[in-house]
Amino acid sequence: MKILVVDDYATMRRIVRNLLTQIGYNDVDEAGDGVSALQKLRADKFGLVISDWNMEPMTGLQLLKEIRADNKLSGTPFIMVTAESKTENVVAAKEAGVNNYIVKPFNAETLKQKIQSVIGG
Amino acid sequence: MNPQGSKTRRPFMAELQQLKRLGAALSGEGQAAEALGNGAANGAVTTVAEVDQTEVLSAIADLSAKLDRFINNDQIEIEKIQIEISDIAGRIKATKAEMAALRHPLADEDRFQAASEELTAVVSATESATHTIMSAAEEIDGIVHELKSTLPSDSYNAGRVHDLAEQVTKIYEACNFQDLTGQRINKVVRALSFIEERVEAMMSVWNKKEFELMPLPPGLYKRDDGLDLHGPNEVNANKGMISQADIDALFG
Repeated sequence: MKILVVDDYATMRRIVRNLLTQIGYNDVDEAGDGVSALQKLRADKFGLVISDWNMEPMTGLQLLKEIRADNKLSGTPFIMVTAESKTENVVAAKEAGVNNYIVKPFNAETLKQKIQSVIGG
Repeated sequence: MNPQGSKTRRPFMAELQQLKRLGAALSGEGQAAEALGNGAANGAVTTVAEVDQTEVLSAIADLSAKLDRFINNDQIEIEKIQIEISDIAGRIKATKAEMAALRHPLADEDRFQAASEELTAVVSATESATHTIMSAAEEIDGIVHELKSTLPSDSYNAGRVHDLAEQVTKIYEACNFQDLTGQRINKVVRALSFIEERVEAMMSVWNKKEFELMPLPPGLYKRDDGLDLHGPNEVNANKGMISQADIDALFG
């Protein structure tokens, strides 16, 4: 399964990629914002999107809505990995169709659990 | 009307003096005094009054001209002062608006406090991360020392363990950043506190109600779809900041 990691902070993408490798997911691609993420999603097949929320020019929530509104991409599992922990933000993400939500900082075990709960296995 | 009921008015002192000078010119002081006593004074006063009227009118005209010049000049000065007062009033209003933007009495967020809290959280987070890095480095250091004691000092592995020990030292050195950044950030927090006190002092000079009527400043945080984006947050149920466990509960 190919995973797309979306975060505007390169170090964070590197951390997530390394953690994914540690927990057994080696096929990982990265995008620095929502726009380039959408381009990659439309150009390739991904089994999971792990995205930050607070990005420019397209936020993680906007990316999620774009994915859910796209017939070809709407079924793609989406995990939000963000520092935003306000209830209303989590609820809004859930209403927009997020499959799971991880608050930063997080560890490999949390990431593993959330991925497994989303894609199974 | 004079006290004697006479229709002839009493001469003014100026008139008498004028008459005196006139009398002296005509026939000396004695004649002038007599003229005053035998009714000739009335005729003389009339003459003096006629003379004075011309002079008074002239003086009034002169005074009026002076007054006109004064008023005209003064009007220009008054207009200048009015412009300056208006300018000062504008500046005071702008300053008040800026102060209100910094610390609006009705604002939900205290920007100075929020900034101080964010900076304090930065210090705390970097401190925590540094402790973790240091603990890991100390653990590696312990292993290095253990390996050193079991390896022949001239072996390849002993050399690599020595290299490893050097890298651990570099980690320790790099961890100094936390102490330095912590101190710098604490300085900024103190500076913010100082500025906050000064702003409060300036605002206390004015009526608090004035600031309440001013428009609320725009929020500091980015918004997306009507939602504030101001993470990272400490878990605080009162402010709606929930934990990962709470989030997990929302997802069933």
